[in-house]
Amino acid sequence: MKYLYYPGCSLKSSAAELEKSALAVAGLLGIELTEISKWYCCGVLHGLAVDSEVYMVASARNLSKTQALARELNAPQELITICPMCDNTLKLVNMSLKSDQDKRDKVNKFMDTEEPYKGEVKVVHILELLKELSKKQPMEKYVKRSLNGLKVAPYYGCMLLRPREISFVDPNNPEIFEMMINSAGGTCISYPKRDECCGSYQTAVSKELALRNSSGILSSAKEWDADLMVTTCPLCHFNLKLCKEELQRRERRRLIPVLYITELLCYAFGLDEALTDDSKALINELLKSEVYAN
Amino acid sequence: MSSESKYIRIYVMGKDYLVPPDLTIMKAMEFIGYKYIRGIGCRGGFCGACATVYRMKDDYRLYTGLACQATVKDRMYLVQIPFVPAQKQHYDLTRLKSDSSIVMGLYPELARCVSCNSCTKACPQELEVMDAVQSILRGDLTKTANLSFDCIACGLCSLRCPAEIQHANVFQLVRRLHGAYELKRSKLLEARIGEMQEKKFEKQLQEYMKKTVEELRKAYSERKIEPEEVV
Repeated sequence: MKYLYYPGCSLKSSAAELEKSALAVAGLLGIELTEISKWYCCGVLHGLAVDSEVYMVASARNLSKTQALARELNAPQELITICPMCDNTLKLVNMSLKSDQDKRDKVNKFMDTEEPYKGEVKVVHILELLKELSKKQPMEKYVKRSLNGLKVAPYYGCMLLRPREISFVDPNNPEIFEMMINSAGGTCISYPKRDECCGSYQTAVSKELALRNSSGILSSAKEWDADLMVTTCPLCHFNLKLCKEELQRRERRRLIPVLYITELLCYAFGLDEALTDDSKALINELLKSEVYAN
Repeated sequence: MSSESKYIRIYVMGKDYLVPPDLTIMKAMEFIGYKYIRGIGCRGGFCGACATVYRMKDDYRLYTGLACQATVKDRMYLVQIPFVPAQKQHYDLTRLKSDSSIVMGLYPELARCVSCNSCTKACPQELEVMDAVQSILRGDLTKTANLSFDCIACGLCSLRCPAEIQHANVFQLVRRLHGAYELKRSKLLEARIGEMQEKKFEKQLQEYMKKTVEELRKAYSERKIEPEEVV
């Protein structure tokens, strides 16, 4: 199946391992992702906090490009995302442009040089697509290297769950990470803070606040016996990793490591070429402990 | 035919004038009697000093151009921009690395880009200015360096930018980082610099210093041009 794909800036810089692992998993499951030519920063969610159409232009421009490209390539009018921040921003803008014609006209007139966006593109997160596929073809089938019951804490953060109108899972019981961890042969750890905020962009203005939130999440997962945390958001990943390193340095506290969910899947599916050496070594090291040795 | 019909009507800072068609804006201004003391440079479209904004009758768009390149049109309402203020960060290139976080750190306003594309529309060099900004956001400095190579720092994009980005200075930093850390070193250049430091050409130079202008002209026209380095 061929789809158009929007990477976003983080995947091209700080979260390269997320893009690589997600594309490898998608490829294995038969999804062919074509990166849209000439895409732009989604505008980032915090821009939408201001009630101004100008902050919608960035996303609208990407949606307009998708509309034209999908027609040209005879692909579905769908745009696949991997970064949940981009996914959330594109979906919120799309929802607004779909439902409010006045707003759509205004943004289209402002863009001026792009083909007018009709509001018909569907934004789909890659996990949403994988979930649909796993209904027909269970993920267990692809496992080449079981995780031997590795205790993994799923961390959802905010972007995949809120607001409810754009979430593709039940925000109170999302289950999607659970399904993937279990399919890969891991043990999914339930813990109270799996959907609390990591501190998000506060990390840029108030690092301590972000550290406090992130350490609460990582400690909670460890208390409930997890050995590893997985997420899919580059910003959550950044904050959690920063927190682990900072607390190790300041207080010699050992918190659990964090990976992207798709990295864990790559390990289980034997897609080693899509894993960084560090990520692979980390999972190997965890599985060496007595608890998981057969 | 009245004498007026050979002329077109333009408005300079609100005052109307009749000027011959086909002149550049700069020549038309001089025809009227203006004398440039700022906002003028090479007269050849390379220096970026003569930024101009104008509107046409019954058209909402604000157009931009270089006064030495754009020609006057009938019912053009124009004004020269003598100078575009921009803040230039101080940095020591040898202490930096070729990374977008360095550029974002020195010019954090880059993150305010809303992809409105006003910069691209304003560029008299027809550069993909927005793409060059966006490439920084996604960490591709090589692309920014290439896209902005022909920037002449006229500042028109910066005047139109709602995010108040100072494009010319940002792009200059990116090209410097790219040149210092990404581009392949020229071996011939380094060898030649070494030769110069060892004063290999000192004697030859002293001989030229004694020559007359005529002798120098002859030597110049008879010089041998070395083949270009194949990279």
